[in-house]
Amino acid sequence: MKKLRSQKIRRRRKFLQFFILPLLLLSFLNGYSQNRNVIKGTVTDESGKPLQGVSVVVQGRTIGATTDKQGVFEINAPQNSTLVVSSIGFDSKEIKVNSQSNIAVTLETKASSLNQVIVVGYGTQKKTSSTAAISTVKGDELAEAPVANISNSLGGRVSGVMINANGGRPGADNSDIYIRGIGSNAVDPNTGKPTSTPLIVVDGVIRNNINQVDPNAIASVTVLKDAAAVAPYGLGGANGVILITTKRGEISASPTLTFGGYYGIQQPTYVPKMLNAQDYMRLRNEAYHNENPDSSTDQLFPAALINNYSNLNKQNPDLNAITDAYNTVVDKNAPMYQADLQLRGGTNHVRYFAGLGYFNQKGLFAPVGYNRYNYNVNLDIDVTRTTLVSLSINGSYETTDNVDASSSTDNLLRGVYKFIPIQPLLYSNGLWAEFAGNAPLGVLNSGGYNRQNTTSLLSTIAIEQKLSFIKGLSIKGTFSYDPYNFFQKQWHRPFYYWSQDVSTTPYTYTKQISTQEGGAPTYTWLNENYYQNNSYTYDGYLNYHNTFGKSEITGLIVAEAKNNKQLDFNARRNNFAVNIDELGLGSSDRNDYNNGGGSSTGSQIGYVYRLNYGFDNKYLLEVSGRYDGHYYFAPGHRWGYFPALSVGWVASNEKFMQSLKSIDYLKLRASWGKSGALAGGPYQYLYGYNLYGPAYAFGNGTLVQGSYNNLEANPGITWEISSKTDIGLEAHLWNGLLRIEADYFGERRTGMLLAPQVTVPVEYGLNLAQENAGIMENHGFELTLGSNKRLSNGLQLGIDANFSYAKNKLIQVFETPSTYNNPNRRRTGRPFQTQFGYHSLGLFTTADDKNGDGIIDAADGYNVTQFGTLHPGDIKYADISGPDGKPDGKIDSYDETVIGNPTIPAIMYGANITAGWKGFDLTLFFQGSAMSSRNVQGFYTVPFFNNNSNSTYEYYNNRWTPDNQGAKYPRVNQSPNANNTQTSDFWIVNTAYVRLRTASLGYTLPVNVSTKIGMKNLRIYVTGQNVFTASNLKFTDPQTNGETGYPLMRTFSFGFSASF
Amino acid sequence: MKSYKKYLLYYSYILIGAICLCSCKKNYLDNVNKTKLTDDTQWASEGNADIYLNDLYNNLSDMYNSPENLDNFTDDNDAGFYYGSYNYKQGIVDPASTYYGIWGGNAGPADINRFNWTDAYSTIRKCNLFIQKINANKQNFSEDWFNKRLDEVRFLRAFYYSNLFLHLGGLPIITEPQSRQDTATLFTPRSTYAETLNFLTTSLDTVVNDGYLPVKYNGGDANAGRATLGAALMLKGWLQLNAASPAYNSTTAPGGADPDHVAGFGNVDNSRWATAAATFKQFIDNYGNGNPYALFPDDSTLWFESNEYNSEVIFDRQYVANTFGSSFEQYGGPVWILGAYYTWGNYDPTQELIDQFFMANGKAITDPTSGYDPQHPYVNREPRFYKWIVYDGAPYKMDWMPREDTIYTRIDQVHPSKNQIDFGQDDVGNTGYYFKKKLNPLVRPGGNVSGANYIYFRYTEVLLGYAEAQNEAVGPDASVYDAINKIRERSDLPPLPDGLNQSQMRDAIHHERRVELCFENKRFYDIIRWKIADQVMNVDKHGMKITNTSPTNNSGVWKYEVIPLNHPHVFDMKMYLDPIPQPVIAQNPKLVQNPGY
Repeated sequence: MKKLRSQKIRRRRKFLQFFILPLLLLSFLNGYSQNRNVIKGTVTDESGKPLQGVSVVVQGRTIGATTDKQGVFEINAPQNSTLVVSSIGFDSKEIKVNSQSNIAVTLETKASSLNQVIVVGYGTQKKTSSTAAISTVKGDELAEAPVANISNSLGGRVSGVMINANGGRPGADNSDIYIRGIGSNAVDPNTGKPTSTPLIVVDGVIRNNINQVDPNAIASVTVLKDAAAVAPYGLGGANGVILITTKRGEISASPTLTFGGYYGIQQPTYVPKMLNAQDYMRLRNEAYHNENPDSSTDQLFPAALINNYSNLNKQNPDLNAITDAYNTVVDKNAPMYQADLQLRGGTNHVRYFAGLGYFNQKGLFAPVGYNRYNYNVNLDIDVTRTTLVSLSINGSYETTDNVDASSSTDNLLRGVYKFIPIQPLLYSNGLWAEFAGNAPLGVLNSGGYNRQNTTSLLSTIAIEQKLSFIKGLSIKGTFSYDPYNFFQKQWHRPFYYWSQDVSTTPYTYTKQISTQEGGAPTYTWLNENYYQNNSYTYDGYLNYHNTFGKSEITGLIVAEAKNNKQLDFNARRNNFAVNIDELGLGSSDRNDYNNGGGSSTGSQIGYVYRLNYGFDNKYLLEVSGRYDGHYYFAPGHRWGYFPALSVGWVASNEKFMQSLKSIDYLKLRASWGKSGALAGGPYQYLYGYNLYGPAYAFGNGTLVQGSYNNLEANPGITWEISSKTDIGLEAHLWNGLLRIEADYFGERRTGMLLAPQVTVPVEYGLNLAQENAGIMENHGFELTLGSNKRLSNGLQLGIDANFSYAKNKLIQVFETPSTYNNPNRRRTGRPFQTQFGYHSLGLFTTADDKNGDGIIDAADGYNVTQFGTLHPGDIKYADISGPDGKPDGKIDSYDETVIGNPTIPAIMYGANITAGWKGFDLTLFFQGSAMSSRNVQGFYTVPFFNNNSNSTYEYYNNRWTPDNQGAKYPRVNQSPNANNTQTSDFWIVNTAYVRLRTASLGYTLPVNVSTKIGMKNLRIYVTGQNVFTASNLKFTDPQTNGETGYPLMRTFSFGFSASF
Repeated sequence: MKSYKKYLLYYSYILIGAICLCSCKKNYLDNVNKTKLTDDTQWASEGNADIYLNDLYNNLSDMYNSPENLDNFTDDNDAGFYYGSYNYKQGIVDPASTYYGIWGGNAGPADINRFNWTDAYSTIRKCNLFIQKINANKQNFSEDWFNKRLDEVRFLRAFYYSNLFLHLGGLPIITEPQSRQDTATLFTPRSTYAETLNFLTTSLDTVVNDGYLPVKYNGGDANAGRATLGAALMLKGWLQLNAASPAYNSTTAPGGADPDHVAGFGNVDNSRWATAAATFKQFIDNYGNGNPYALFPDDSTLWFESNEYNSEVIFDRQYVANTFGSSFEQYGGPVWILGAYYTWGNYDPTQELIDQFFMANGKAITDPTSGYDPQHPYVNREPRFYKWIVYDGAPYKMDWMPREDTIYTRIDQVHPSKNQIDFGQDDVGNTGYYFKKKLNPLVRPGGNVSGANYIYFRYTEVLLGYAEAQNEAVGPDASVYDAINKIRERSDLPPLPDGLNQSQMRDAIHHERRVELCFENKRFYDIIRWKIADQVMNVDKHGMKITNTSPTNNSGVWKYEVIPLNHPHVFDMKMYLDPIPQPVIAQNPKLVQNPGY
């Protein structure tokens, strides 16, 4: 029997050798046989029902068994060995085999587990003894969504995580993540987005590599929210912390090899409906007529032409074109696929996990796409009984491809939306044309590209030593080396198109170079950028854990040093004579050369401590903190101390609660503490001159450098400080049927970096250094509910829902008197990024034009000066105020008022509903947000937005005409009209939505079938991402950033997962 | 085996120890900022200080890379919908509104590069800092260098102040880098119009009288492009010419009550014309007549790259093709060339401007004896018309073009042209005209492609300025005739008839000035200072519609019809000056707003 099994294993191993040979060797470190005895046992769930198919293995051996229908197993195990009992959906249990021969095991459903161990800052903790606000989500749950990385699957999965989408371009679709809303007014000067994004920690080391981690390799993601949780991160913790933990090896009877993958098709969630040729001409005529009511000039497009246009088009499509640019250019079914291979196992001495992953996502047009290869190896080796050596390697190689380097997907899409439907895009002979200098097909066919290759390695080696002289004391040292290399190659080829000369018969076509509205060079150029960052992290840990009677003490001290070295350089040549994209083959004229480069270093030191005291599993106390130093600041302002204190009371462990059968577990907790946030950039304490070039040219064009100072220094600059308070409740009721976690939180951010505005006149001529002067408050609450039920017919149901609300308020900001003194415009006291503008009173109607001259002015009794001449169908604004605080008959900045919420929602919620029955599993993940708004003025809602560009049916069907007085949009103009394009609440739309974010239906083959085909397990599934959305916006995605941006994608995929 | 484990243990101790050591290292948090220069290095040598000065030159308004141009704010040009100017022409100029359109913008022609308060004062601070720092580090520089650079920056500072002065009137005059601590001088009120003018002309006098700078740099000189005595004297004369003009040399400001005298002098003094005339005369006598300044023989090639720093050029902004290039060629000229889309069509001459060009016989088309035929309007016009204007049927051949094109703006149903007059809001012109003045013939229109310099001042303006000021001060004497006829002579026009009275001469000078300086961003200042903007800007502009009487087969005759453009045309009296933006006043309550806002 034994022999047979080992042969079988060997065969399997031979198969494995093809994949990961070195790891395989480790699995031979198995021990040798000892005295054996046969053990019989039964496995049941909490309700006493027998569990079938449970795996039972001897820890550290290749001996295993599976339970039968009655939950019974039989195993040949050595004395004093340990059995590991595990089953999907349940917590694994370790049973020490002494002399028993009959064992009864009860497995607890995973989610209801009270003994769950969670990852926290610089360590792990039992969920029950934690006094902090922490949410955890399993990696498997996140990996269900067909997305490149977890930034697009985390939103709505756990409470406290707010997500703001960034479009759908492969490789550039990361959502912005904010923990418990926006805590600071700091914004990125380039994007204008809040910089209060969380710290990302991968496998215990501060790393901002959310992109580079394969979701399939993630064991869990933990979100640290309150002061108690983030205090160990000191100046990096104020915006919350996301801990990503990758999968590690587990002791098992035999190695498990899992192979999985999916193939999916992506489509934009919304495609704008642009006008067809006839409606376009009708709208142009209407616009011309609106602006020239008395003009003697004929209609731009005679009615006869419009009505006969489809016939004319059939006769001569090159002269009377009908173009649908979007559908011609865009591949509406772009594929994406993913594959991963994982090996996992372990013995007494060695536990190992290794994975390979591949992800490929194509874009709406070639060459847009994203590729990623991941590899990871995690080893844990018990070198002695007291020494553990761990090794982690997480590597990735990414390729992001984009369109020709002199264009962008945004430009291209803008060109496509603009393309007017009466101009040919493709002639009947297959050549392509342009509109207003834009030749979308010329861009796509140029052969140019913008390619980024990124290699990233996250590597850590750690040694942990238990110190025998003091019980419970151990030391640990870790060293992490994270090299990151970025290489970008940008290749531009001239954009060609063909012009059509209709004065000849047949028409003649001439090849022309498009300048993309003058922007794209008419010559070929190549640019290469290289960026390298090497990060080094050194950690020394001192851990202590012991119990004294009813007291339990856990202590931690960490000394951490980080430094990083960066360098970059770039080189460019113009005017390639040959079509070969190599730098050395470009023009040899030195005027066609360009290059640059630089380097920098950074460093940080932190000392962390944490002390937990628990008494009788009822009363919990934790103090923690960090003393942190950072190179950003001047000597004397470099060090900060960030302490936190938290308490917990496990009420359910009190005697008087024991009688309440319905309450399994009840904990109340509270925390308070300080943490910091690094805003702005390094060296703001130094006064300096920026050197740049070319700055000017003298004589016969000799280019010279220039330098300038545009910013004062602030020698006292330091970090922002956040004081956080949290009160929470955790409860498990009715035997695990309902799990509740509720938190109220408050945060006060002080010392926010702000550029003073009012203390000097504009004539001062120098930007003032930012000062740590702003104050902001952020409050909210979170609620998580969960329930699992296993019905007697085998149907398993589960729901996990969470709701988060966070609203901030600017308490103290620099504000000019002109806004501060006007209660409508005052920023102070309002949420950060509240939208301001005019208040619209709707559109003027024909009835408002009392004298019927087509113009609305004083002669009609309207005495408010707006913007230019007003007509029926234009927007009417409320004259709210003036310089004297009273309406002044003029619409200007005195009339501004609050017109909308910030674009980033204050409410985010999600619900994950799961059902399982006889091998089928179904997951429906709904996610939504509320209390956000957006200004929708743009291509979709303003006709002829740029150069007679095409317009949408959203506008066309809802525009003001004399017959549609109560219209949604103003009357049509030939170009954006000054009065109607002001920022006002006319254009503000509530962007609340709820969407079926992920839906997945799977089927797992019965074990007896899968074993027959040589597999432990086989699951096949279909998944939909962004399946369905309900929102106020019917014509675009509520999460789109700017309507010419790359659209968000809806994905349908088919996949499988097999383990051997 | 055991010893190996022991080593491991030691290794872990060492690792942990190393971390502690590392983190205890005293200078661990000290990193070097290699991205910036410090005060010590910036002013250490002439070469280093020159780097700072180079940036001050780069702050000269980048006119050839600004799609919007000042002419679009006048009656000479109508590009239809073009953000800032389209709003301006609707009378939408309001200090309290910060948002004028989808692409942003500010009060007045502020979307032209650096024509705004914030940029101007940031550059002025840089000038002041330069003067302060080179004085403080004088020991590092030679006397010659010091004297020259100081006067260069004095000129530049006056130039930057002038940009604001001509749009806004009296300004807060700041001559040293301000300190936040010095609250007494931090909030500076506006000086009066007269004080500001006086400050500027005095600064320029210092430069001229010092005489450290050369009168002119010629081509081949490594310093060409730097400030000169010629530039300083020209700027002085130009400011005086503005100040002597009716909009400012007046008891009342056009925009209304001006108690602080920021919008003008508040009185009339004809001697201001004499002052301006004297400055221009000083220029002609000392620097003119080929010594070294003179009219360049050709009125069209003087802008070409090959003729940079020619005898006519007084001050210009430098461009170098591709590396530091100009994009002017993609803004002006016909939109479609040889069937391909090339330019944005931002320069569309109005019929009003076209009608100013003389006939070849030197007579205005309004003169009944001129021989002008409204149905053959492009026949027998003066040479500048054919060199500068692209009209219906005009041959168009630039050096970069493989062959000649003919530009048709007529409405031709048989052979539709892509440049056909467009009543919509396409790039294609609405007036039926384009221009080719100043276009670099060597470069295919595109971004950053031309190296031709933008000329702020040329000798023609000295002659025109002198003629105008002298005519106003003493009447049409021989020197006035002489100055104006030099310009006409170069363009092959006969001299002005003798015996013009002062008013007729004024009209002739204004007329000549409008044609000669068209598309040089001068017309805006002229219609403002002459106080005619409320007449010429409050009426609709016109274009030329050309159709065949038998449109289906072109067998009829081509009919020329001057048609109104139906574009907004509002000009309020307050618009003679632009407003000071409200946020500027909010941050310095000592500033008073211009009349009417």
